[in-house]
Amino acid sequence: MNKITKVKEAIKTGLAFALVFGIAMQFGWMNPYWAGWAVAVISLPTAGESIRKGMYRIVGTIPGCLAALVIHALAAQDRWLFILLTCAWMFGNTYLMVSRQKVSYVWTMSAYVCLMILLSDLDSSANMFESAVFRTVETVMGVVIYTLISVFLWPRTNLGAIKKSSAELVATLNDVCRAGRDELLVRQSPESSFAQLQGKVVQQLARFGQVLQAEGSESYEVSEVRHLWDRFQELSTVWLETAGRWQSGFAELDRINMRAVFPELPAFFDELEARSTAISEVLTGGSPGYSLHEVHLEFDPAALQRLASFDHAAVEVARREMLRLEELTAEMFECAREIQGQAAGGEAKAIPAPGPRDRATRLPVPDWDHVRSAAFVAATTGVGFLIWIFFDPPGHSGWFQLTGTVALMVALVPPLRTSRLIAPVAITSAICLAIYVLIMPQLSGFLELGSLLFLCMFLVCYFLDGMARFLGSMAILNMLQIQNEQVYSFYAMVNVFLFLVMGFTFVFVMSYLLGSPRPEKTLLRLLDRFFGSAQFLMSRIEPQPRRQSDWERWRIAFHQRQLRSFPDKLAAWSKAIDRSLFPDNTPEQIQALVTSVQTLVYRLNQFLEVGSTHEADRLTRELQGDIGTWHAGIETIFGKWSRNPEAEPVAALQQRLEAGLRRLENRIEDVVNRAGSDVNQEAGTHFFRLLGGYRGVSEAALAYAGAAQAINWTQWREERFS
Amino acid sequence: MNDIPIEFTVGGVYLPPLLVAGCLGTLLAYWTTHLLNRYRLSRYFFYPPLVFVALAALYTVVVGYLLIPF
Repeated sequence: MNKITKVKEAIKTGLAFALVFGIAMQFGWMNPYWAGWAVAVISLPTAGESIRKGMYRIVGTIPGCLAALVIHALAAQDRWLFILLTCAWMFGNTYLMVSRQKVSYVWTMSAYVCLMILLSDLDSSANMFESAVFRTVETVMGVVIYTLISVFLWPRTNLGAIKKSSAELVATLNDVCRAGRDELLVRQSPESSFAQLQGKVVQQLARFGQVLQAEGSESYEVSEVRHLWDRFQELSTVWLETAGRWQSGFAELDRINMRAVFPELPAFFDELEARSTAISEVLTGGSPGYSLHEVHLEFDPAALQRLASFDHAAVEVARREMLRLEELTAEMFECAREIQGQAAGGEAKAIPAPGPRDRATRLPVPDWDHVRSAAFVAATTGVGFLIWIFFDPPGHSGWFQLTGTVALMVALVPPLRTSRLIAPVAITSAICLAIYVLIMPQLSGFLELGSLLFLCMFLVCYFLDGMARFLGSMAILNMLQIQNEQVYSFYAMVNVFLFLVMGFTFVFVMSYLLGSPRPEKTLLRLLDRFFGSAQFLMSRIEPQPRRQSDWERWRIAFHQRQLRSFPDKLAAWSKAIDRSLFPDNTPEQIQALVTSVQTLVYRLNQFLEVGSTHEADRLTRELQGDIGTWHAGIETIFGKWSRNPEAEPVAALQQRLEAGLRRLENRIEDVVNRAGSDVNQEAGTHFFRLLGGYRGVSEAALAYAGAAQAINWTQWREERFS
Repeated sequence: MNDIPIEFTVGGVYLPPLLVAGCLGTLLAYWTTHLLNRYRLSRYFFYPPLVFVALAALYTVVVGYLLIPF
């Protein structure tokens, strides 16, 4: 954003801020700062984003108000039931807030408003309904005023952004495909590594999601086909994951002449590229005149015969992923045509998502970290309440309200360190306290007060960004305490100042409740859990499938969900590690560790996908003993890593793997020769996929051991003061 | 030494001596932990957050005993 645009945006926010205070005070509404909060929070760079956030704020306010009224009706005279119900509400809302990313803000508001209304009038519960109504009305008024200003004064729209964003996304997906083609056919390292391209796609997908929400809020054309855009986003996400699985097997294809094995491979890649170009053209409004061609990826039997068993297995695994990519690009092309109205919308096919088969558990499968976040917010709110009723320090009921709200913020962005917020809170609050003491008593009318509010908000919006901007707005709204019948109390405001600093410190202390919040410690915990889940899932693959109980199915689904979510969590926490404290572990080494975990997840999913549909065929039965030993070996290694992530040195592991591969290769040759034509094609394919799955997991485990060896774990394990 | 608690005044606002001693104690504990981190001595503690709280309490008592009775 350039300086002129920044000035314009700051003027818009300042103007709306002063105006909502003016209206609320003119009509004598309760707590005018409620409307100010709405303006401060929804002032975003484009009108569409502001409208969307404003809508979510209104939608979340209503259940929050209703919940507060119900809790008060049920437990007005019983403090323990009161806190129990409030904590339960906070727990449920926080869980939804962190697990439903798209509507996260609705649940944030629902939790926050409930706390706000519950203690809006401590002297009597008679005004509670009035408080709830005013909160809703003032929120709506703040949203409407800011929306009108953002639409009529220097409007910045999102119109057209979605086309641009989707075309960029498809272009990068095509780059991923092209990089894979170069590596397989030309044996040439691509200009950008897969990890770089993957990072770029993840950013573009996030941007696409934001643009979709924002443009969907201001354009009827977009909201009309919103479900198709959502499907396009989902297809792109699955495409990226499939490409990751495909790419993770390239090391095993290194010695194989892929052009000889798949004579149609160049034509296959040409077709995929043509589809990507056509999708981009369709999305930007063009009519490419392209129609889908069926592409096959058949083996050359002679070339296949010449391959060793493990190479055959690797080729089988790669073929399956490439066919899935082909299927997904065809789906994306059809979806793009439907969006542009070039194709009639038929019944949408199920997205061919990679990964192990759904175990169809009827019970909900939670994410453990989301449950922890919800427990943290509920516990912080509960302890804050106890501090208030037993000790009643400065801030009084604020210990219940503010601490719960700050805990919500921490739950939303887990790597956020509350300790780093204490100083900014103290500084911004001290500045606003000085304004309250020195400037505000000199003001004599709304013109002067409005100018002050405008100026404060303008400066905050112009100079601050992100969390600093939020804290600046919070200081203005909490410290200036504007009311219709204004009274000044230095004592009260010093107490508010002390309370704000103590409140943030308290949340920081509470963040130790569920383990150290230090990023490196969290990373270690995540790795322990990752290998624990991997070991559990490996242990559930049995030679002879048996009927599983509901509990068993739920545990498998739980660990599968954990496994899928770990790479993103590890990536987020690894970025939060303070590099200056751990000079031995460079960002590149940490990134290599995260990438190796991501690869391991891809390979495990590939393996579980085959293993879960496992019907022991003749070849598998004959090799049961060898495969069982290999399986037990992998399970043991994961078990060791779940206790110590550097337990297996890479050199010893590599030796064991190579010896195991050689031994098994000879055994397979024996068994295949003996079986001859008794094995049908389907059973053979399945056997080689299973073999490829084992090898893939072993190679990925080896890559992890290599990355883990480069890390100085002792430094991360050492205790430090925060 | 006078052991009678004395309130602090800042521009006519009275501050309890425990608050002042507590703030000083926390600052001293912060400074101590900073030094412990710097010389990698923090690794010898089992649970540093608790050590910080204990240090803050100890310093507050020492400050109260030597400088600001509360």
